[in-house]
Amino acid sequence: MAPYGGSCVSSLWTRGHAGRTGLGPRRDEGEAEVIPRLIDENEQLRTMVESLLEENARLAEHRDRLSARLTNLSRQLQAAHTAAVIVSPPTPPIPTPPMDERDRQAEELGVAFEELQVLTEELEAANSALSSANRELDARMTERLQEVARTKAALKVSEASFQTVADLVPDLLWGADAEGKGVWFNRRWAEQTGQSAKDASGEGWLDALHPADQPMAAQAWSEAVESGEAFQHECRIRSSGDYHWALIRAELVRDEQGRLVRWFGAATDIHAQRMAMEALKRSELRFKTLIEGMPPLVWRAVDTGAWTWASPQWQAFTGLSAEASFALGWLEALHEDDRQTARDAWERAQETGALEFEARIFSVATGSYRHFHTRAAPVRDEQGRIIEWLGASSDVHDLVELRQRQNVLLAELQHRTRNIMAVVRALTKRTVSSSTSLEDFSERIDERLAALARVQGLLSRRLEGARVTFEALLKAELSAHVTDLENGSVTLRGPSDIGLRSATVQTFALALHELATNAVKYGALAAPEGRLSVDWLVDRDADDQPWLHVEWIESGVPDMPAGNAPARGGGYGLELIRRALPYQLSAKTEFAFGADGVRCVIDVPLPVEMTEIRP
Amino acid sequence: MSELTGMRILVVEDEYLIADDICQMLDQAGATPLGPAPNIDAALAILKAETRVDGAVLDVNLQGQMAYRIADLLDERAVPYAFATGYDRDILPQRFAGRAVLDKPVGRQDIARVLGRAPPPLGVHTGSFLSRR
Repeated sequence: MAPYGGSCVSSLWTRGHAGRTGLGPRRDEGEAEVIPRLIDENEQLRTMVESLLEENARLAEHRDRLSARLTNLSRQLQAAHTAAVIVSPPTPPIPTPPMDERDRQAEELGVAFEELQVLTEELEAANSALSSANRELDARMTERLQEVARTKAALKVSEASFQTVADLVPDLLWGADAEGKGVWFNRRWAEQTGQSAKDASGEGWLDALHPADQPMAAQAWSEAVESGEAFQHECRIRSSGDYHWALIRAELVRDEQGRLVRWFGAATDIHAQRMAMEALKRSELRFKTLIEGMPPLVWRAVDTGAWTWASPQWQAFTGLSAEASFALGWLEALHEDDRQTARDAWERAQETGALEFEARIFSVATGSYRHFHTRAAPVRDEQGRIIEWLGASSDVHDLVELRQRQNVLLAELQHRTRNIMAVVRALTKRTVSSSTSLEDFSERIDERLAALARVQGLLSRRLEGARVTFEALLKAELSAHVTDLENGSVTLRGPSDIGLRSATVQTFALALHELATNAVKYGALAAPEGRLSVDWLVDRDADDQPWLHVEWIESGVPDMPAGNAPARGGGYGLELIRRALPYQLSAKTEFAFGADGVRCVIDVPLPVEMTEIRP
Repeated sequence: MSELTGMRILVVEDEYLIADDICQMLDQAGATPLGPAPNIDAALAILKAETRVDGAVLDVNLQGQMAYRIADLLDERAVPYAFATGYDRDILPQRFAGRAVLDKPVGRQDIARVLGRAPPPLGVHTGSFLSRR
């Protein structure tokens, strides 16, 4: 093993910070790494020394045995030699063992001596090896101890700088043991949560979480600890009296044998992002609710009207899917004649920065087009460039129809006003030419203007859709002259629902006015015994054209003028009946002075729609 | 001052009282009123029958019928005419853009202004010129 390994305790911290380096000197080995290696090496050395010692002992024993045998042989040789000298003086032969016995013993001694010499050399070599091994052992031990001392010193610096960094980072950092029990927490943990490292240790850190988040966090954590997989969880952590959202990540560190050694965790404050995200979500939800709940058809577009989104209402109203409406697909829903208008409006919008146009949009529900007012505003980036357009098309169909009807009515009103001025002028000139005095003129013009005013009142109701009926016209005129239509002098008989053509009403009214005026002044309504009966009915000619047939018959009038006498009252009534009604109403009229009163018959064509008598 | 004297002028107006009034004005101005005609058919009949028509006063709305066919015929025959209407002139079709339009009620001077001819040179009528003074 290399003296300085890469895997060491400090990597526990560096691993916890994926990609982060510099938390402690990586070259320094940790205690946990160095000690086992040293123990391991020392064990090998010890085994070697022990075998050397054993060998030494064995050699020593062998040497001792040989030495003892040598001594023994030497002593035997000595004894034999002494015995020979005593038995025989110097000349006499000493009773010595036979020559061959002595030779054999001397030879044996020589062999043993040589053997001893070899053995001694071996022993010396073994001793030398032993002391060398011992020296090596000593040297290595010394070296390793120095190494351990250095490592310990380096480790101290590393721990200190890691602690500094751990307390400096804005994240909450902590370590947990293999069982997931918190064992270490950085200073920020205490600062932010108000929880001391002691309180946080074990399961205590859970208390720093929002109560609502604790069960889920506890479960997620225990699952991670069980599986040994990286832990990631979002929850709220206490932060100076409040709770802040945090993203918690933890990873485990394993030892050489792959055993789970320690967890390292970090909690990053994501409160602002989370709040912004939630606000955005709420905002988007509100936007969606608003968009999908409002009546206008809403859409988004880019460039010159390329749609990128269409609201559900648009799709429901037009029957065009969102996809079919994208780009310029939405033009399909517009009336053919309005598509260019829309395109032109988009071109203009590039310069003006606002889109506005009116176009008819097809309603799939009714199978018809409806008028829509479309507006869009650009969404700009910080440089003021247009990113996209938000648009809404509002149904203004009723409004447009109302406006059109209003315009028609306004034009009609103007036409009618100017026409009535012309009629008044003509009436005035005619009255002037037939008046005998200013008083006479004043009286007649008043009456005629009053009649004209009455008929305007009736006609104004025509604007509301109802036709002026003959009965209403007749009663309006007679009521102006006769205080009590029920006193028996006047008899009116006929259907009440005969509608007249508007263009004929005014002249008809003036003719009836002249008849009534004359009746009041000179005729049936002036005489005590006078009677007026007006009968009317609807008849049809050969072409099935309906006609209103009216008979105005006065009776009981004495003193009737001769048939060729000039008409009393200037003859304007007579002119209206004989000339105006035929001219303007295509009427057929008869007027005669009978023996006891005026007799007038008027036939007026009715609008064809009157073939069906309205209730 | 334009004059209507001696001119034969067609009057097309559905309202009797107004038609009568215009006819009387023309009469008083020394013109001969043709008609009056209350509708298109009557007006066309008069135009067909009359060989000489010097001008026309046309009500635009004849009981719901527009007088444009009469105007077209008058244009064909190069007869000057004036529309007399209570409507704004912008209801008229584009082809009548340059035509005279008189607001109702129409006065004698109005008709003379748009249909009348320039009076003969002063020399011919010195007497009347002096008498006017």
